[in-house]
Amino acid sequence: MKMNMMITCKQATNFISQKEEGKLSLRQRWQLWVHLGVCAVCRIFEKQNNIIISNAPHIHEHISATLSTAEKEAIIAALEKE
Amino acid sequence: MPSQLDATKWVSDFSDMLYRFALPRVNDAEIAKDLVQDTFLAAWRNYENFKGEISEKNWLYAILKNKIIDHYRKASTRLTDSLTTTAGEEAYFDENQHWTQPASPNEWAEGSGAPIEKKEFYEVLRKCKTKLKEIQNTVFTLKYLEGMESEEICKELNITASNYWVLIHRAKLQLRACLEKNWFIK
Repeated sequence: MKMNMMITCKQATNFISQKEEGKLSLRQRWQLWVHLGVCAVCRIFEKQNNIIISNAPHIHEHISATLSTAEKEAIIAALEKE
Repeated sequence: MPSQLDATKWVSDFSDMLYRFALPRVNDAEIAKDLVQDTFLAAWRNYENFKGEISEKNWLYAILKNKIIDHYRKASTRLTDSLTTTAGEEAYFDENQHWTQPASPNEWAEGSGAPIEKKEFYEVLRKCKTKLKEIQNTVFTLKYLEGMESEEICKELNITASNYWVLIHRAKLQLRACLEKNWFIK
């Protein structure tokens, strides 16, 4: 019983993603909490995961790529042909 | 039909914005360009359906989002062939499912709250995203850029929940490792 309560790093990192969607049972949340309490590496993973997922929706706001003038003209030409 | 003037104005006002939105989502400049053109064409043909309840800009975004999801849907049959193969990928965990030494996350120089060099950070994040397998990038994008729920994503791509969790897990492990290597240099 005691052994069953312990989860591995692989499970813990999976649980971190599943927790975001409220997919963990009470028992699993407790297992994750216990694991993070003793595993510094997974705590770092959790923190960095939060940095990645909180910034991901904003990627396109920080891109400076543009279409070339020729590419824009091609779109305009395609529209005018309609 | 909108006038000729509108075509030029539309494209100059909105094409770069739409292109930047599509680019990190499909990870391929040519596909992104095609999707932008398709979006303009669809909007042009259906202009009479534009009610002005939302701005033209948001209307175009909505059309583009649908085009992107269509693109994923069409690709998903092909993509799901390589669904959970991890061949060629780094081993993150050992036989006991603990982090392997080289793959263990290290503290990043920046604390999570500290301001980071935003522009450069996003550039690295986008580049790291392009290194994901296409199916991993698709699930990551739908989940974290589009904010869809996992059930919805599974339905759209016709994959099982267990495939989904494997894909999202691998995508995150790879993105994190790539960021650590290319951005958070200690």
